[in-house]
Amino acid sequence: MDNKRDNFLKDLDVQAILGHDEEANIDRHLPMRKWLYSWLLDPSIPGNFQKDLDKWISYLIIGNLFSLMFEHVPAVYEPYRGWFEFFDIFSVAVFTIEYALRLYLAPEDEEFKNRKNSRLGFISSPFAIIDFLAVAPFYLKAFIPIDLRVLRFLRLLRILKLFRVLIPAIAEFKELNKDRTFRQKVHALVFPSNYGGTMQNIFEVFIAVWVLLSVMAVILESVKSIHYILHLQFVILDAVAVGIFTVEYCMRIYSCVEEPGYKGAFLGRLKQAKSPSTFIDFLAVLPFFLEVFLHHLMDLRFLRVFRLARLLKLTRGSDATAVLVKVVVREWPVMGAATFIMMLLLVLTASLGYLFEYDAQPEKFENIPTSIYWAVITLASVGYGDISPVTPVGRALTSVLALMGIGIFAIPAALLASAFSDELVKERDQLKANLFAILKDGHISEAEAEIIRSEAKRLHLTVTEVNALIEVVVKEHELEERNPLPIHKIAENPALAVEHYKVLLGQIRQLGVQTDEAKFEAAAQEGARLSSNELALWQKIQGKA
Amino acid sequence: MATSQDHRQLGPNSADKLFLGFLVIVVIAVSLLGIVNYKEALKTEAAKTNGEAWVAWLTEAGTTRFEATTQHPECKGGTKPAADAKPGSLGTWGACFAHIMQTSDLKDQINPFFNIAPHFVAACVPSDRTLMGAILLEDLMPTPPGSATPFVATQLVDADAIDYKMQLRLSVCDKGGYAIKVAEFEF
Repeated sequence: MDNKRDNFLKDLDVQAILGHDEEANIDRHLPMRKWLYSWLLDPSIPGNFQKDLDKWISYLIIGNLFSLMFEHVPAVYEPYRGWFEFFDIFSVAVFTIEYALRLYLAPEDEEFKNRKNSRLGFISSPFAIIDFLAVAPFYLKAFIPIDLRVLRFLRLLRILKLFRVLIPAIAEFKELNKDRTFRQKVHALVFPSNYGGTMQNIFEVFIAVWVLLSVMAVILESVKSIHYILHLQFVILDAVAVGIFTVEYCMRIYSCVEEPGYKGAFLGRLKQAKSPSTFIDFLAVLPFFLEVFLHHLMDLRFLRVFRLARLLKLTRGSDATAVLVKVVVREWPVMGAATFIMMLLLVLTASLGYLFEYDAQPEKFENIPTSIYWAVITLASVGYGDISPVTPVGRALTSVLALMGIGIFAIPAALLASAFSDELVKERDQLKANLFAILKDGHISEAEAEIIRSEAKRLHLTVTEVNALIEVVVKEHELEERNPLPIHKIAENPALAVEHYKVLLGQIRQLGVQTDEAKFEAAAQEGARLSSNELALWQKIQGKA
Repeated sequence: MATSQDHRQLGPNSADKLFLGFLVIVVIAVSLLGIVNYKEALKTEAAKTNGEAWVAWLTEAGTTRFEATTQHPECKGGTKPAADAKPGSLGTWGACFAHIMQTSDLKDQINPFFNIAPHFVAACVPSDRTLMGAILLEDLMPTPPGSATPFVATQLVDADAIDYKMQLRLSVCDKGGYAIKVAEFEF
C-alpha cells in the first residue's frame, strides 16, 4: 500500500505543485569557471540562480526605462539629479559585471564552447552586442563629448536587454503552439492554459505593471503639485495604458471561443463580455473614450476616478475574489435578512432617539434622518461624538443600542466567515472526490496530474495536506474493494448491472466447470432442490441445452 | 495518407485577418484620440506658460517697485491713489496693467484655446466654456488672527490700489474650466 501511495506522490510531484524549489545539485569540486557557470548562467540546471539573475536584471532594465522617462521632466530630474546619476552608475556597474561574467564564462556555454574562440563567438553574438551597447555609451562619454540627447537615446538600447528573457520565451511559445491555429495562439497568450508557457506569464506581468502604473498615475494626478508638473506625462501614460488594455480586451473577446464553456462565435463572446472580469476590462477603458467623445457636451472629469477600477483587473489571477463573490451570492438571502433586521432596528432606535432628545437639543436631533446618522455611528461602534444624547432616557437608549450594535454588525461578518470556511471545505471535498476518481485505476495520467496540481495550487494546499488527502482516498479505495456495492446500488446503474450479471454468469460457468456434472444434477433433483426451470437454465448456461 | 491535421489551416484565416485589421484600427483610433488629448493638454500647458510668464514679470517687478529708481513707475509701490481715483490713475492696478501691456512681451501672449489674447477673469467656472485659458489674478488679503481662513482672495481689478506689498495668487482656467494654481507670490 505504501508503494502505491509513494507512486502516486511521485506522479503528482507534490513539491512542484507547491513551488518548493528544487535545490541545485552542483558538485562543489568542479573547476571554478564551470562551478560559477553552473550556479549563475546554466539554464539546464534546475534550482540554480540563472532565473533569479535574469529576473533581477529585467527589473533593473525596467527601472532604467522609468529613470530615463523621468529625466525628461526637469521638475523631477533637477532636484534629484544626484540620485538619477547614482542609479545610472549603479545600473552600468551591474550590467558591466554581467557582461564580464558572461564573457568569462563563455567557454562553458553550450552555444560557444565548440567554437574555435568561444569568447570571440560570445562577443559577436546578438545578445552580447546588445549587452555591450547597453553600457558602451556610458564609458564613451568619458572620452568623447556626446550630446545629452544622443546619450539618452543610446541608453534606451538597454531595453533591448529584455530580449534575453523574451526570445527564449517566444521560442518556447512557438514550440508549444506549433500545430495550433492563430486564434488558439492568441488564446494561449491571454488565457492561462498549458500552451501559454513563460510568454503567458510575461503577458500577465506586463498587464499587471500597466495596471499599477495607471492606478498610481490616477492617485498622483489628484495631488495638484504633481499634476501641475507631470500633466503631459499623465496624458501620454493614460493613452498608452488605454491602448494596451483595449488591445488586450479585443484579444480576450476574439479568442475566448477557445475556452471551454464559451463556444459559439457570437454567444460565446457575448458570454465572455458579460463575465465580471471582462466587464471590468471594459470599465477600465470606458472613461477614456467617454471623456474624449463627450467632453464638449459636459464635464466628465469625475469619470477619471473610475479609472481606479483598473485595479480590479488584478483580481483576474486570484481565485479569492471569485470565492468571495460566490459566498456573498450564496449567503445573500441570510445576509439580506440580517440587513433587514439591522435596518428595522436602526429606524426604530433613530425614531426613539429623536423622540427623547429633540426637546433637549433640537439643533442636533433636529429630525429623524439626522437621528439615523447618530444611530448608525453608534451601532457601528464608531462614535464620532458630534451628536450625543443628554437626556437619561436617551443615554439609556444609546447604551442598549451600542451593545446591540456589537451583535447586529457581527451577524453578517460571522455569516461570511462561516460561509468562507464552508466553501473551503466544499472545495477540498471536491478535490477529494476528483482524487477518488483519478486514483481508481491506480495510475495518474499527465492530464490528471495537471488537474490535481492546479487544484492543489488553487486551494493553497501544503505537501502534508495533499499527502493526507491522498492517504484518505487510498484508504477509501481499499474499503470499497473489501465491501462491494449492495445489489440495490448496482441496480441503479444499468451498465453496472450488466457487468454484474456478466460476473455472475461467469461465476456460474466456473462452478459448472469445477463441479461433477452428474453428482450436481443428482443432488439438484434429490428432494427437488432445483425446479425443472432452474435446472434447465443451469444446463443452458453450461451450454448443454 | 493525409490526416485531418495536415488539412488544417494553421496560419491566419480570413476571420483572423479581419481581427488583425480590427486590432490595427483600434490601435490607430486610440493613438489618434491620444494625440487629440495630448494636443488639448498642450493647450493647457501653454496657458500655464502664459501664467508663469506673468508670475515671473510681476515677481521681478515686485522686488524693485518700492525703490525710487524703479523701471516701472506705473507700478510703483508706496504711491497711494486718491480716494476717488479712476481705474487708470497712478497707484492703481489699472495703470500698472496698461504699462505692462504696452511695454512687456506679455502683450503678445495668445490664449491657445481661442487664439486670442488671454483675458483676466473673476473666477474659473466649469460651466462657462469661454473661460478656458483665461487668467485669474487674485489679491490675498490676510484675515485677522483666529479667523477660520488665513486670507480672503479677491480678483485684482483696475481700480484696486497697489501701493502696498501685495500677496498675489495667479491661476489659469484649464480645458474643463477649473482653476490651476500657477503660483502665489509677493508683488
